[in-house]
Formats: sequence, C-alpha cells, structure tokens
Amino acid sequence: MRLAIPDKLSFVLLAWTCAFLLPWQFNIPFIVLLVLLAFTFNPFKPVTASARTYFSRFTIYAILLVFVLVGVNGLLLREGPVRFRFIVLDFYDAGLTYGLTVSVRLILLSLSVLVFFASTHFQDFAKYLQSLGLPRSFVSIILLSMFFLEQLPHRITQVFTAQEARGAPVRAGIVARSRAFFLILSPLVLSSIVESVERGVALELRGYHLLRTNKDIRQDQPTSRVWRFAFLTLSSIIIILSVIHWLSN
Amino acid sequence: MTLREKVRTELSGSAIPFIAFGIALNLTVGQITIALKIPLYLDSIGTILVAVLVGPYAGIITGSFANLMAAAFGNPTMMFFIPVVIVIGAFTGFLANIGWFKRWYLCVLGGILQGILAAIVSAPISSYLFGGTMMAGTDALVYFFRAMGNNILTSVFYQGLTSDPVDKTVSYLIVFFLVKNLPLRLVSKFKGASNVVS
Repeated sequence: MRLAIPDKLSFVLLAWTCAFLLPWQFNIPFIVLLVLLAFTFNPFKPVTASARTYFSRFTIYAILLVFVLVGVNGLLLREGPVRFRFIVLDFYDAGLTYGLTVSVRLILLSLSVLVFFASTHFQDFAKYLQSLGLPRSFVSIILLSMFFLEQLPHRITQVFTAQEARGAPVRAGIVARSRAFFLILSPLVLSSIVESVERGVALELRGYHLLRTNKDIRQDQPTSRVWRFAFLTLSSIIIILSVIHWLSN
Repeated sequence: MTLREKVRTELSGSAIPFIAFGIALNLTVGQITIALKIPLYLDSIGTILVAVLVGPYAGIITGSFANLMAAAFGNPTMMFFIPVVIVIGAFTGFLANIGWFKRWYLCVLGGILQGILAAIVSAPISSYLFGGTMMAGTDALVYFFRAMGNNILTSVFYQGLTSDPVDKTVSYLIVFFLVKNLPLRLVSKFKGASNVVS
C-alpha cells in the first residue's frame, strides 16, 4: 500500500486537530497508534537509517518531557487538592493535569511531523512543493542546502583541527574559546561564500533566471484520494463537534 | 515594486547558493558551540548573515527553511518557532537596510532590540505549546520566575528577555566582524553590499 504526500499531510492535519481540540486522554491512544504505524505500516516507516535514529532520540526526549512537565507543574501550579506527596514535595492536581495536557499535545504535534518527514524523502517533499506552485528557486535552495548540510560538518571538523594545530585556544577559558569560535567560523564562511558565489555564477550562466516554468514537475502521483478524503473528513468532524461542545458550554 | 517582484529580485541565481549555505550554517553551528563549550545557541547566525548581505526576504526564507529542515532531520519542535525566525530575518534585513551594520555599537543596540523582539514573539509559543519547558538550560530561569509567583507566559517572557538579547547581540557582533573581514570583492557580489560598506 502507498500513501502520497498529500495523504500524509492530511494525516498530520488530523493529528494536529486532535492535539489542539481533544482532551489528553483521547490523544494518548493516538500517540500509541502513530508509534505503531511508524514501525509496522509501510507508508509511515522511516525511509533512511538516520530517520530511524530520530525515533529513538525522540522517544527519550518525549519521556523526559512528560516527567519534567508533569513534575514541575505539579509542584509550581498550586491549585486544587494535593494529589500525592513525595518526601516533602506536594504535587497539586491542577498542575499535574496541566503538565499532562501540554506534554501529550506537544508529543502528538511533534510526533506527527516526525513521522511525516521520517517516512518522506525531503527531495520528494521539495518536488511536491514545486508541483503546488512554489517558485523553482525555493526548491533549488532546499536541494542546495542538502548539499551544504552534508559538506559543512566535515568542513567544520577540518577547520577545527587545522586551527587547533595552529594554536587556537579551543580548550582555554570562555573568552579565549569565544575567540576560537571566530577563528573557526571565519575561514568556514569565507570558503563557503566563495563556493556560493561560484555556484551562483554557474546558475546565472546556465540561464537559471530565464527558466521559470513548473509544468514539468506537475506529474502528480496516480493515487486514489480516499485516504486524503477520510483524514480531512475526520478532522472536519472533530472541529465541528468541538465547536458544538464549546457553544453548548 | 510588488512583494513578489521584491522576493524575485532578492532570489537571483547568485543569492540562492548563499541562502542554502545560511540554512546549513544555522543547522550546523551548534557543532562548533558544543565543541568549544560556549553556552549560547547562536543558531540564527546564518539567517542574520543572509539578511545582511542579501536582504530581509532572503533572511526570512533562510530562517524558515532552516527550521523546516531541522524538523525534517529529527527536531520536529523547531517547526513551531518559524514565526520567531521570520521576525529575526525581517528585522535584521530592515536594520541592515538602514545602515545599522556599518557600526559595531549600532549592531549591539540592534542585537538587544532583536532579542527583545524575539522574546516577545517566542513567549506565547513557548508557554502555550511547551508549557515553558524547552528541555534546555534556560528552563531553570523559567522555573525561577514561576517560583516567584509569575504565570507561565510572563515567566517565559522574562526568561526570553534575560537570555535572548545576549544571544542575539553576540550573533550580530559575530556577523558584523565576519562581514568586515570579508574581501571587498566578495562582499560586492551581494545585493546588500551597500548595507555593510560605507
């Protein structure tokens, strides 16, 4: 089974609708579902090895976030009865509920975005944006930044090692280290600007600014729109029910 | 000149690779600050550099795409701060256009103003979406202000006012000195050359 990018985006929209409009008790099963989908359902599985590591990092982040948000708010938001006491610390009911609400909402919002990007090649996303009418220059920027993203960490390591060998104070006090920051950034920026200018000239010489059509990209994937329709309908129903609930209160 | 034409003029062929570099710099500068153990984010240096040398729209695009790509590469929470980087790109471009990047003391003043503006825009996002907990060192400040009896929004705003002006002023000064040290023949290739050269 295959889901096109618009289908996945409508799923993200559904997740965001739930995150903002439904109580945290409803959103916890949604988070579990998202995690299950990311590991078992092909269209939502991570497409690269590094995308898989994002999940493990995010899981640690999410667990820590829940503990910190619930704990801190339980202590600081002193409203309602004391739910429990830990040694000499009182945790209040309102604070604990607020912490849970915020952390579950944030995890659902972030996880849906993570699942979307982990299961979609960024180049495909850029092409999709172009097919929607985004200027070609935007897509070029995205693709070129992917190139720089691959190059820069390696270049930073090179410059760092070279400056350290020349005696740059990379391990001295904070002021000296700040100076070393400048010593590393300067050659990095200079070499990258030279490269940017050269690439820019090459683009201009190839008549980049003359080519402005997006027509060649408008070859949408031949998928059915059932999923898109289902996700969007579900989002609309949740919004309508929430408005009715809000009006009746 | 319409907005579309202004954006199109800024996004000429030569600016595109530089904007791409700015995005990558925003995403990788953390590698240097971590290696040097510098207690600042400095993650808008690319946006500021592009906004100064190319223009405000290019700065906005750099910041927005950097956050979008950060979300794509494992940090989805960055996406919620796109409004903040839009303000950073636009305000820096504006300051550069009126000549504030020609004098270091104007850069300091600009950095402080930028920090305040960033704090104003980021406070509602941090407080509503994150409950004031960003899982960073600055959270201690938020908890401190909350323990003093302030609500979450006020505490996050005070935390922003405490740390953002420092971060932005340092970023502005770094960009100022970086640009000053660039050869004139390179700077002159950019549309914003007149923003930095008297």
